[in-house]
Amino acid sequence: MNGSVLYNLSLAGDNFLMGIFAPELARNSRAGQFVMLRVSESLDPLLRRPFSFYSLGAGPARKKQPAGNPPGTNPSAAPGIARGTRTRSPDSVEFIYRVVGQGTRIMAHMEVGRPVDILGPLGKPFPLPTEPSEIFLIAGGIGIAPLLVLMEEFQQREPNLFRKCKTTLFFGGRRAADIVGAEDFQVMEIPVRIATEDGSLGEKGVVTDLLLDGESSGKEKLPRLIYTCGPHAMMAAVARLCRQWKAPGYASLECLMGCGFGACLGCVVGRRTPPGRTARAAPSQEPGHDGLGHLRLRPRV
Amino acid sequence: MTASGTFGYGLEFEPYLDLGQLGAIVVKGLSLQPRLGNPTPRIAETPAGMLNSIGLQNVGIEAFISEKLPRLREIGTPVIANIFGETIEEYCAVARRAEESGGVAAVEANISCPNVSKGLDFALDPKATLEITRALRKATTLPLLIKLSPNVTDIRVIARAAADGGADALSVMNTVLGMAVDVRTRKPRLATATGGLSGPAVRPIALRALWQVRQAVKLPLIGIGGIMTAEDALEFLIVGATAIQVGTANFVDPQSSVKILDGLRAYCRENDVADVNSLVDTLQFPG
Repeated sequence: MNGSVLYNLSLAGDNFLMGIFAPELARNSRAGQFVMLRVSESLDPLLRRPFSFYSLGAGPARKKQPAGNPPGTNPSAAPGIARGTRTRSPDSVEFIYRVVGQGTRIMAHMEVGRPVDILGPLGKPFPLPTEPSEIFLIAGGIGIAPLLVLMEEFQQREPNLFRKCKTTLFFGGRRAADIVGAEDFQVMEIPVRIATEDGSLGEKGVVTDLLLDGESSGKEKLPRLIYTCGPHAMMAAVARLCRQWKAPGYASLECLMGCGFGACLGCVVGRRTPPGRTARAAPSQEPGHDGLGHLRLRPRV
Repeated sequence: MTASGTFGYGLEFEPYLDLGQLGAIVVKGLSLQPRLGNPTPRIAETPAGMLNSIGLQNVGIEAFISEKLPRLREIGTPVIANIFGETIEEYCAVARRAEESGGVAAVEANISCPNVSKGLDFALDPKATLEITRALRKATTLPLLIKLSPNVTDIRVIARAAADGGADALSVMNTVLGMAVDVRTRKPRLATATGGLSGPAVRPIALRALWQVRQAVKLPLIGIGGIMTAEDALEFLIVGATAIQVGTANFVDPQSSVKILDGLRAYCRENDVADVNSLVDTLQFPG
């Protein structure tokens, strides 16, 4: 299907926020799913690029609608490109991406109104919480993307349950510029704790350090539930925490992908699983599902 | 038809296209036992192409027959079982099971996967090609396709050996052995260092290989290598292929194969070609 660029905003560091007009996608996709974008009509780059949804549709009603570009936006970046302003609608979807190679460099130069060739939605959605829980969202860098859409979907579909959960976002990066999108969680009144490896924002260290002191403080002990997305090393540490806490968790895996729908088998995860590690995922052979689906991090009980 | 390894077991593509429109579905390479494949990273993009070293991950012939084939039979499109093994006996056993299943129209023997080499790349040696083709010819009465490798000094010699061994048709070609390096980490971009290059980058090589094989044998030939459009497919037909397989294009656009068919129909309409077969082997030499 085809969408068109609504806005393409430069955030901190090499990160961008792209809004795309794609009504069908906005209505038919779920949190945790992704798309494969074709960023060029030429043969180089040849393959599509996978991107998790950052948001679907207009999102929850906000007490204070942020005016214009989100905080952290760098208005002076890439002069001469029509970038637009952030205006979510029921017909829009958003992606956060970091410029790392040829494909994302092309994306960073896309102007407002440019058509985008989209394959999706792909992958398995996140299961939503089913009981009042202490929810740990653990993100590394642009791994923040599927966690925002998850919380927005949860709040929209289960507003009462959402209120009964105690949710915290633990957000890590190498440096301050890796921390983008935290304000969208603050709008939802989800507290954000930040760790950067160089100490330039939040606490100095890796994000999972923030969780080590995490004995439940609440009066009534809620069962813990973990959602995570980020670098594999971070998610491996999260998997260890899940086992230690005997808490269930869901991970959205980032990896190189050829097709996005389980045909090329380039994205498999789970081979060479270290002994004792219970986290495993393999691409499902079902249509529309593949290895970026959610790794179930099972408590070892 | 669709090229093995790029179309899963066909069913992955059901949400995107009518599988009934295809001439045949060539399924992912099947072995006697299930295989997990190679460590990751297994794919790397290169200019106008991709390197892969999946390592023939597959569910095994028995699971294919019990879990995938029933649905494929309902669709009715001929299913070609791409097969491989570590020994000639394994190849023959897989071929026999494919025939016994009753739902497989032909067998395509992958005698040239660059990613699981244990010094037994049959397709690199004419004697080994002859030997395995003969053995498979005895093992099955199904039409026997032998898939050739471009990673040889002279593909014509291998093609003749396959013809002498009793092949019914030749698939030309498998991927080209390649490599890419991440200069920041100085690591190869594939875990196995080398892998098979596919996509439009290899199309001229495939066309050359097909042309050479056309000179060497009389068998029907299937053109494979970087076909993205109907125009690409026409090149192969004109040089002498009676059929083509679409591979890497399936990843870029899962509807590629049917779009190419539409394009071929449009070409025939616009150029008053009554039968696409009349284009086969019609290369015109200059002067």
